[in-house]
Amino acid sequence: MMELGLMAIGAGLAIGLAAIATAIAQAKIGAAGIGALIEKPELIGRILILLVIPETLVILGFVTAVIILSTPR
Amino acid sequence: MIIKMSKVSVIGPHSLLQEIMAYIYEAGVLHIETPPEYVKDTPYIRKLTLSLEQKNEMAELERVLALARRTLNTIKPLYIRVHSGDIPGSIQHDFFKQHSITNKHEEIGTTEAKASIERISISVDNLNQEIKEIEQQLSLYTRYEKILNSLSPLMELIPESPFRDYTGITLYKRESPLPLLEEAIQRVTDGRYEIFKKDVDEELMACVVVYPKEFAPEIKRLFHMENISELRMPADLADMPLMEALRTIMQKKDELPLDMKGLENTLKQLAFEKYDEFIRCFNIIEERLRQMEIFSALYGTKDTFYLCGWIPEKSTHPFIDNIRKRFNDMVIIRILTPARTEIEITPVLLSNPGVIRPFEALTRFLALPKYGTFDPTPLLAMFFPVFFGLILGDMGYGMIIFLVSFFVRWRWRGNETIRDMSSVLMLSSLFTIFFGVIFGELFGDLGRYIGLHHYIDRSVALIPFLIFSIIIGGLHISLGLLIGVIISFKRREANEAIVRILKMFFVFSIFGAAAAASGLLPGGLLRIMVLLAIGIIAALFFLEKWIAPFDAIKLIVNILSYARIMGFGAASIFLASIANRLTAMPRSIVLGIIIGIFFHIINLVVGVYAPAIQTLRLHYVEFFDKFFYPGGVEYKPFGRGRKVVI
Repeated sequence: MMELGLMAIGAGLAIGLAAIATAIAQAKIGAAGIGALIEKPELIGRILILLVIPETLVILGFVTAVIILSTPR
Repeated sequence: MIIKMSKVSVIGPHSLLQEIMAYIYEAGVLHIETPPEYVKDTPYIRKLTLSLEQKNEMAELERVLALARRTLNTIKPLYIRVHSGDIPGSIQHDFFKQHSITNKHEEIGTTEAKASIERISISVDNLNQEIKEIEQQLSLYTRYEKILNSLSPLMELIPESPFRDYTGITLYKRESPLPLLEEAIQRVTDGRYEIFKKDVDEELMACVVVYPKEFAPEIKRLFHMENISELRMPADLADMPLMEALRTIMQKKDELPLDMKGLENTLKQLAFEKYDEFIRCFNIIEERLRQMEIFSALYGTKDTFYLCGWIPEKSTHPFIDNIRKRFNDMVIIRILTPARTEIEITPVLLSNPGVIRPFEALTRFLALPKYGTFDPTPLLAMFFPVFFGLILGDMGYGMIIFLVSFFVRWRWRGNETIRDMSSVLMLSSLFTIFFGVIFGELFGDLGRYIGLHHYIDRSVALIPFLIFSIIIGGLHISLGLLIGVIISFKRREANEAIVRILKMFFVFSIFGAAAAASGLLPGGLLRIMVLLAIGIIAALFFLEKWIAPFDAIKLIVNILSYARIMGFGAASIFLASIANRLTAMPRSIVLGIIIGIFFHIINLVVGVYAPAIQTLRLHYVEFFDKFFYPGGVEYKPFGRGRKVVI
């Protein structure tokens, strides 16, 4: 039971911390991106790319969480 | 695909310049550019300058165009509202009648176009000005509204008499000055006065003081000395007696909104009737200005002009033959061999068959590819709907997206962007339904409750689905690298080609190592694959120096990034399942259904947005990065705003 609890906490931390890191990065990129968009609206495609780049972090966090929870006990 | 371009030069006498430019304009296929440096540097060749008369005309056209843009800002929203049905039926009917009549392409000259723009703009400006004035008056009168509402019943109590005068005042109740004021008025008028009072709100009280006319100067002085605020009327009513002014304000407050409504309707009617004509005139002025701008960018000698530009290869010979036929030997037109460096500035025209064409918008959303490289639109059309379907994978959501995008495509068929985006979604929704059948998903796990068969249960098979997603990533990125190798060879970038080949082998070695480690390949291959991967990084180091190890890591991260297909797919089914569970929670069936529909709508919106963005990201960041050369120059032929379709 204890082991299961620790696994759940581990999985939660993996995705939670990754999500916080993604949020911090996206907040900064988003703010800068909006500033750039006001000057040059045609940059929307490139800004969108920059904005979604940090999402890989949370995806990797999610994968880690799934692997932790799928590990045979 | 990127259409092949030919470069042509045209040399002719000044006397034919206008005529030739008119022909090129009509043909609408030549993308004119400034001549190359070697032409500019040739002795006796100089930039052709506009005459003073032409410069004045250009300045005048710019002024009219600025005026037209301002007017368009007013009338365009009204025109758009016709399409959204926010216009009374009779006006809408008239407008469409008018629209069809003026749609005939009768030619009018620049002078007529200019006059028409000015006439319409003046009418619009006048109407706008009148509406603005009424708004200002209304806002002023509204400030008097509260006090007027309080005073008007009092005014009815005051009998009309030429011997009496009255003054309206406002008092703050908390200062309770009324008893003292009454005392002072009594002293001045010898008791011949009357005060009518009424509360305006919790703080303010409105009073009308009635007194014999001969005491008016003393009363006014008293109010002034005691700092009592007399009711001041708006400037245009200041000379009127209080009673009359109040009546006028009340009357105007009723009339002004009607006047404004009338003016707004006139403006609408004007916009409906004149929009088509206005746009036609706007285009004429804009085109004339564009022609003059092109004139001012031409080069030549004292007697001849020189211009060069790009034409889609298929249109080149008909274009040249027509010019030769029309101008005989008076004009020299030649196909030039572009220098290698010119590939960077060659304009790009994308042309793809019907089903693929809507995806061009997604390629353009990032950037145009450079000439001589690869147009990724066909690959985008192939993979985007598949990835979208894999992530969402739900029959119910797929059907809704199909129907909604079908309706949107039909409803806004005149809008190219909306039409393209809804076509992309329609195709993607078909794959969503297909994968929904494989996953046995209908609004999440609702399908399971009604006995829907599933071939793969992705809510349980997370790890196999994760591995599947990563394998897709590996194959997708390898394909990108392969295309990159071909383009590099075409562009004679041998170093880049070798780097991409090595990266492809690095991807294979990583997958080989993973397969050997998991027992899918003989265990002995594991060491070989790891050594191969290390060897490739070492080789990359020679070509890319310190960036090589980071590039190798980036490649692995790129592949792992495809895990989002599984991640967002799982999130989609879990969210839909939660919506289903919430439906079952309340005791009332109706409430449960409402909650369920609400959460499914939210999930559907997220379900369209997230897969679309994530799929685009996988293409833009992970896939295109391997072969895409952004920064192509858009092909803009000199002509009547026509779209060239090859």
